[in-house]
Amino acid sequence: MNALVTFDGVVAGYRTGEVILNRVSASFAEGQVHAITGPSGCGKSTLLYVAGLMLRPMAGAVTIGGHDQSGGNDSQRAHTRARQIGFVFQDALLEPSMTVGQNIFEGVPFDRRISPFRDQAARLCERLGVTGLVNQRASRLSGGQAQRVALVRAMLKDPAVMLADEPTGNLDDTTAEAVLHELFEFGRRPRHTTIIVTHDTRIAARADTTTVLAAPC
Amino acid sequence: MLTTLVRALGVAAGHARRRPGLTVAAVIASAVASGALTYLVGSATESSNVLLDDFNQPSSRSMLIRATSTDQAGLLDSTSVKALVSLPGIQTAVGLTPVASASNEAIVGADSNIGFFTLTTLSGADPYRLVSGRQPGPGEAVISLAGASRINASIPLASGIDVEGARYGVVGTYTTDDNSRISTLISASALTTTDTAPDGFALIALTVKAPADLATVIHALPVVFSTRAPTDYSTEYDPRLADVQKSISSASRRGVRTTALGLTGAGAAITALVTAINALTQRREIARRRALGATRVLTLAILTAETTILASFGATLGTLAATAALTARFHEISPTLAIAATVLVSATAAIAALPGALFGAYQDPAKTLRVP
Repeated sequence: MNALVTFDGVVAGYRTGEVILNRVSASFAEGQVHAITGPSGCGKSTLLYVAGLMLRPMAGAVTIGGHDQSGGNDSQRAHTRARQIGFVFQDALLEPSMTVGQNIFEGVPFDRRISPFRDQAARLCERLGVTGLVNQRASRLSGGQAQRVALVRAMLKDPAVMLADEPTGNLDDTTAEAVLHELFEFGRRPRHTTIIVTHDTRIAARADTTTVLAAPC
Repeated sequence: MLTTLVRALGVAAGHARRRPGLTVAAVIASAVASGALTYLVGSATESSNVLLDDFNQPSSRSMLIRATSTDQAGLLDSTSVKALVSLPGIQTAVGLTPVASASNEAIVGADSNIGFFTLTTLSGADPYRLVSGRQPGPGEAVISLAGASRINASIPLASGIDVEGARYGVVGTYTTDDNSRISTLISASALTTTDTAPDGFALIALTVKAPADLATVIHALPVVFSTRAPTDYSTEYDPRLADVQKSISSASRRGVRTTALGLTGAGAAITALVTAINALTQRREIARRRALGATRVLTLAILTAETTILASFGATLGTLAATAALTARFHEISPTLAIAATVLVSATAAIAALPGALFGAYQDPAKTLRVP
C-alpha cells in the first residue's frame, strides 16, 4: 500500500518552546483506516492538525500524496486543505444559525461553485439519513444529526484524507456506529485514507493500523 | 476568483444577518456619519452658493460704485464704512480701500449678508461726515425717489422736504469741491442711514450750488447708480467679491471639515469596534472555515467585506436622508456630494475594519479548535 500521509521526525507545538509532538514519524497508507490513540494531552489532536495543515511543524516533514507540505505559504496550504483534506471534529462545528444545507455547502472549496456539488450532497444526505433536515437550522439538530451533517460536509468534496478527532465522542452507540461505518468505508477506498483520533479501544481495534502516542510527550 | 468573491460576500452577508445587534450598530454608525457629513458639507456648499448668487445679483448690497475718471479716486473712510455696515439689511461689511489714506473695516458677527463696498465718492479726497437726521437747509438738494429706488434706499419722507412739488428724503450734509461733472453742480452731499425702512440701504443727500441745477443732478443720479452705460461713474461687481466669498466659504468649510472629520472618525471607530467584536465572537467560526480551506486572505476579505457591506448600506441610508433634507432646504443639491459621502464613509469603514479583520484572520485556528 502507498503511504498517503507521512510524518518524518515531526516536532510541533502551539507556542514557541512548547513541544507537544517530539520527532514523530509515522506513515498512513491509502485504502486504510488508521487510529491514533494515547492518553490525554499526548498530542493526538495536534498530530491531526499537523496532518491537516492547520499547524506548521517546527521541524520534520509532512507529506500528503508524496508532496512535502511542511513548507509553503498559507495560501498553498489552505488550497491543499480545501481539496485534499476533510475534517470531522468531536463537536460537529456547525454554524447553529445556518441551515443544514448551508452548513453542508461550506465544505465546497471557496473557489468552486456550489451547484456542481448539489447531486453529490443529495446522495450523501440520503445515505446518512439527513435529507429531511436540509432546510432546518443547525441549532435544532441533535448531536447525532449534527455529526452526520458534519460528515456530509467533510465528504462532499471527496478529499483524499479524512481526519476525524473523536468523531463519536458525543454520540449514542447507534449513531456512532453509523458515523464510523461511513468513515471506515471512506478510508478503505483506493487513494483515500481515514485517520481517527480516539480514546475508544473498540474503534482502534477495528482500524487497519493503530498508532499509540506515548505520554507525556 | 469571481466565485470566491461571490461566496465570500455571501458568507459576509450571512454573518451580518445572524448578528442583528452588531449589524444595527454598524449601520447606524455609518448612517449617522454619512448623513451628517452629507448634510454639513452640502449645507455649507449650498449656503456658499446662495451667498455667491446674492453677490452676483444687481443690488446695492453688493454694489461696487467706482469712478471711471481718475480724478474720482477718493474713497469712503472707515467711519463711512461703519455707517454702511449699520444700514438695515447689512449685518457685516468688508470695506476695502486701496489707498493708504483710507482704512479697512471688517465688522464680524454675521455670516450671510456680506456687503462689499468700495465707494468712489462724489467728494474727492475729503471724507464724509455723517450727520444723521439733519434737515436740509435752504438751497440744499437731495436724492430723488427714483434715484433712491435705484439703490434700494428708502427715504424717510416724513422728515424730508418738498422740492418743486416732489418730496425728498433728507439725511445729512457733506461738503466737497471736486466731483467732476455732477460734482461741479454740488456743494454738499451726505450719506447716512434711515431708520424707517428696514430694507433700505443708503440715502444720499446732495446740495446743489444753484437751485437751477437741481433737475440736472436728479437726472444724473440714477445714471450714477445704474448698470447702464455710465458716463462718469459705473456700477459693477468687483472680482474681489469672489475672493471675499472664497475666504468666507473657506472659513466656514474649515469648521465643516473639522466636524465632518470628527463624525467620520467616530463612525470609523464604531466600525472598528464592531469588526473587532465580530472577530472575537467568531473565533470558532473562523477556525472552522480555515479548517475547511479558507485562506487568511479570504478570512480577512470576509470580515472586511461584512463591515464594508453594512457601512455602505448605512452610508447610503444616511446620505439619502441628508439629501432629502438638503433638497427640502435648498431645492437641489449636487449628486456628486451624496456619492462622495457614501464612498468616503464606506472606504473609511473598510479601512477601520482592517485591524479587527487582521486579528481574526491571523488567529491560530488549531489553537482555537483545540480548546472548545
